[in-house]
Amino acid sequence: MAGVLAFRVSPQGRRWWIPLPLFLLWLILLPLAVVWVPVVFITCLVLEIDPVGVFAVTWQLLAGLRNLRVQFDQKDASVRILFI
Amino acid sequence: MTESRHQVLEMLSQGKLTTEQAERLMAALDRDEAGGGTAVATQDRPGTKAKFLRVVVDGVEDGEYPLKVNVRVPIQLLRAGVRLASLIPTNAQGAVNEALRREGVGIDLSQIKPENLEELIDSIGDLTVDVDVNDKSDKMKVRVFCE
Repeated sequence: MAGVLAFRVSPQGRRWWIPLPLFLLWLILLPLAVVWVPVVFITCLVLEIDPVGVFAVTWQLLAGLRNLRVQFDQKDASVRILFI
Repeated sequence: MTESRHQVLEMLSQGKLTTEQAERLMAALDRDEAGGGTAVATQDRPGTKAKFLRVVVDGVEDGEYPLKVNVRVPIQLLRAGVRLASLIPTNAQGAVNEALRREGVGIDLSQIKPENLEELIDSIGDLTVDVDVNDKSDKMKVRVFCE
């Protein structure tokens, strides 16, 4: 999954496109995730929340971001965010 | 009268729904009841094939500048959000419900089920709302639909 952010900050300004390769972000976050998984698991057990459900829903939320598109165009500025 | 119907009528009386929207929701409930209740598998429903919820706002700002908002949310993401709500512990749900009620949102989180989302998608159809803006030179049209 990759994210694309585009923005324009002045009425006649040019549009800047910044492709964000999110897979690199995932690679950076992976070691942190490995450390945090046991912490989250124990916290869920303490709070009586189904830990498997939490991981499943987190994964579904991340997977669900694919094809999300937010586009806002206004007189002075515009912002576009795409997940592809 | 089922609880869902009662909720629709309550929202209608509070002015949160128009008569047309209430009619659509009632029709969706009729379809569910005819099909054996809300427990009908959503994948089996012929009407539930939408992949995205779209919100499109078309407007004019200061009488001449176009204002556009185009949001496409994958239904899968909405489903995950509904499931996330179901993970909230029951003792915390009361506090969240109370906070929502204080803000004027009368939603009971414990009542939100994935089937409700499917019903909503079925009922939305193609909803277009003309929004009144304070400045008369500004116009805005909000369109909500599934595709």
